[in-house]
Amino acid sequence: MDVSINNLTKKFGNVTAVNNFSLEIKSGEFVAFLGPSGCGKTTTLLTVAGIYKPNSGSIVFGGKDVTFAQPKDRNIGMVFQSYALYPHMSVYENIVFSMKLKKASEEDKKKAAQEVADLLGIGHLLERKPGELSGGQQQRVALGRALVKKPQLLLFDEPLSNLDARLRISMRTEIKRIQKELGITCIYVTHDQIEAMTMADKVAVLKDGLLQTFQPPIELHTHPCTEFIGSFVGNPPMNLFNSKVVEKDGDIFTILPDKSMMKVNKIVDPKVYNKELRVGIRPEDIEIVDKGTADSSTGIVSLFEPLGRDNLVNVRCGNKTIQLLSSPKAGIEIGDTINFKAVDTQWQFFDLESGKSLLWHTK
Amino acid sequence: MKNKKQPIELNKIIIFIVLLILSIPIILGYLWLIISTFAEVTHGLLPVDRNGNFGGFTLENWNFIFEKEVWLATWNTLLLALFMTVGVVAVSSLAGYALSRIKFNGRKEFLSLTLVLHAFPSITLLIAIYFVLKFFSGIPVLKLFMGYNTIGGVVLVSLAMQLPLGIWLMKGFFDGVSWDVERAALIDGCSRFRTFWNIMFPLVRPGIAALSIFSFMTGWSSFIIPYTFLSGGAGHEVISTYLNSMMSSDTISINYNLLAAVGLFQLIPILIFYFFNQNYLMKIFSGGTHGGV
Amino acid sequence: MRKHKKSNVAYYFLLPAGILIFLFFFLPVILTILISFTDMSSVTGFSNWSIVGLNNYFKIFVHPDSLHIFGQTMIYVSCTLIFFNVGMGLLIALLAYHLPKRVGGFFRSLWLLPRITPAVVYVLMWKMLAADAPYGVLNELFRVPFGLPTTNLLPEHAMLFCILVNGYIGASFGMIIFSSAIESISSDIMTSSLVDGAGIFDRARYIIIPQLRWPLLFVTTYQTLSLLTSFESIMVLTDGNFGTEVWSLWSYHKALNNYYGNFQYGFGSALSGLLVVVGIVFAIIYLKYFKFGELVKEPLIDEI
Repeated sequence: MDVSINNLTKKFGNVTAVNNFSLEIKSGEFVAFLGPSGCGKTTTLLTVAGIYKPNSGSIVFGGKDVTFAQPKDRNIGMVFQSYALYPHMSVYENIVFSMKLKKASEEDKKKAAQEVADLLGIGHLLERKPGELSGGQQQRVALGRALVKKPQLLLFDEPLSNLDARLRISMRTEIKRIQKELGITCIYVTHDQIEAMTMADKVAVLKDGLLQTFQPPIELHTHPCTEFIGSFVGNPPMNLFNSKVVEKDGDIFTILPDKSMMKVNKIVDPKVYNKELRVGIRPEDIEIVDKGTADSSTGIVSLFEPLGRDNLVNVRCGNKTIQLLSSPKAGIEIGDTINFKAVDTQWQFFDLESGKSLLWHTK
Repeated sequence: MKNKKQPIELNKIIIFIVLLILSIPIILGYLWLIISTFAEVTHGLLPVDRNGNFGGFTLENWNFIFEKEVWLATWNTLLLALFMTVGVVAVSSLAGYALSRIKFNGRKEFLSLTLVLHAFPSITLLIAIYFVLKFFSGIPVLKLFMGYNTIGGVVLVSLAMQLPLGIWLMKGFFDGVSWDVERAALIDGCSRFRTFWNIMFPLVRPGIAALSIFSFMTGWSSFIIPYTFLSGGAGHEVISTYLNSMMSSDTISINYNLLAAVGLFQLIPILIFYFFNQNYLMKIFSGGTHGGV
Repeated sequence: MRKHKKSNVAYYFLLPAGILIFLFFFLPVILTILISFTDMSSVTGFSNWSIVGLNNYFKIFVHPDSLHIFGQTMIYVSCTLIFFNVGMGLLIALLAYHLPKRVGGFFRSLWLLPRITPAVVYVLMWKMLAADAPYGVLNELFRVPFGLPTTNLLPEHAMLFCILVNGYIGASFGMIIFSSAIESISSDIMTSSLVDGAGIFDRARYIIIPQLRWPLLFVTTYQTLSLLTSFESIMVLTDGNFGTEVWSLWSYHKALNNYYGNFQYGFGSALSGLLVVVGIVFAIIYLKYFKFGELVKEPLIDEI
């Protein structure tokens, strides 16, 4: 089912939680809403669910305006962070509760419950109460309860944040598998960029109630449309500093905080020269070079964190600290002076005022 | 290291003794009640027989339980306590749910009103309530259920007096239920009423238990409301008013040991409830009692 | 764009409570005020009364009993409040705190007994505590053994007994509030003050009591109103005899329980009307002062 959200605005008193939010979701797509807490992503989701009523704008499900329809009339399923199982009902009763409300026959209920139980591997839990289940099991039951209605749209509100790290990874795969198997349209709210990047077909990034971008995950990383996305997506975060781009002998360069110049490849030419702007470069796109050259920079290592596969190195560069990744074999220690150089195709440039990328544009 | 220093221990003993002395009237009162119940006569706390010699243990004070009058009063008390409890729980949880969970125009005002009434001394309204009940008495059929001098009328008044506390208490309990559970129910297809009945009501069972016990105890003990709105005499008495009329009777010489037995008879269910539900009740009492001191 | 239709479902939930509150709070408040402007009594009946304006209030002003009943009310309220509802409540809470948990809990439960005991049974106990020898418990235990003369203590010290009877009920309210307030003081402060050399009396005075300012204020104001308007135990104990008629009992007697069979509804309503006004003022002060309004959170589901 296609979902279109048009100019949605939701206020709580004087606070605007969602501001003029528009999005088109195609049938069968898995869409993640990504953003820091308080950015309005859950509010948007609850408005789509019909729990909140928007102040303005509309929500259309498959051509039908459901902006003010009751949640029960929307044919949606929802999975909550707190699982929100009915504690006084058994797992079976939880799963078939929505069917009971529609006065389905015992037979139908049994059959449907068996189906989702098989799909989720919770057949042996049906007689238990939610309080007797582990977090992971509860979340499977919650997913089963959402799926039993055969919803046209499945909503997830940070469903994995209460699980431990290992379980989170396996549930991630599981949810993705079921979504593909059923071909169901999904909206998935999360503050965890790895979840959004690994699961979603497209990611909507929100900040302060405003939609920043709506792109496939990989583009989010390589083509950040705003400074916020650049800094929010990616770990360790992008290095950002104020600087200029200058033209010299037909080549273009950017100036680092220590006044050294680094080359910028023409494919990432911001076409704004000699004007203050925001420059970004990801730590993984800076490499250590043995000898200083004309377009490398020099700095003293101030901090050094082993991350496992790589080491995160903080280097003093003028009045700023630049982060870069080094191989553990490089044998770098705090206090060392090192030369480093950016991959010239990986620069990002943002307008100082609006924070918008000078290279890529939002659709 | 355990604190075994001498002064601390001494302090504790002194504190214990001071508390015990302060508690003397309560202890003596209860001792008197229990001893007298089983004695022919009581001199101070000493059970004695008719000639004033120690002894005189008897169960004859309990003969009253073979009298029809007592059972009529007990039946009325039970009706009053039960209907009031059911009413308070039903009305308070409906209103408490709405105030806790539903957005509507006037919600703030209704909440403030509940709070004002909570502090308001409703006992001052007895005179005017007398007129309200008299008014019901003028309406055919209705007068049998809720007029002056009917148990129904007393139930209604007692119920209403309990509402500010009940609503506030139930609202508090509903406030504690997860929003996500209720959202899940709405998405699953419940109407608001269905959500209340199938999901929320079972989830606030502790609150309902607490309020039920409290209301039952209040109804079972209540005196001033039945005393004011029942005319007394056969069939129009509750245990409290029955006991009071025995106590203040001018004509018959008062048998205090019989009074003690009737008093204990009324007290026993209260003590049983109290014993098993102290923690619940402490919470309700600290939420502010109503009317009484 | 289609407008969202407001749902009325909340009003259905509130309807039963609304009707009862209207019938037994709103209407009575208005009726009390209205009747106080009439001369309605058992003489006029319910049909022949007339409006007399503020006459009943003038009558209160010039009534020979007004002054001393007002005085008795003040004595009763202030003594019960100071010595029991606040003083004794605080004392029991403090003392019980310093005992082992179980012992302290026992005393707290014991002090709650008067509150849960049916009023008539409770007053019966006090009557027998006060009665003359050979029945009266106090006389038998504390006077007879020392050869002192005995008498029924109740008429002799009626006001004292009214204060005791209500005080022993009233103390438990403060006790519970103060106990939980004391429990909530951080145990670090409690321990460190002792380490700093304070004795337990100094600690009570300089550490605990200053932290109880808010609960003290709450108990004082809340209980003042309760005491001012409640009369149940006094009615059962002395029925206002021996100089214990207080304002609320007076109004009850005048309007609903008159020995001479002359029920003065109008005058009684004026007496209680004054209490109603005091009650309303107090209740509104609570609302403003204790900022209950701030507890009100918006529901997290829109109108459905």
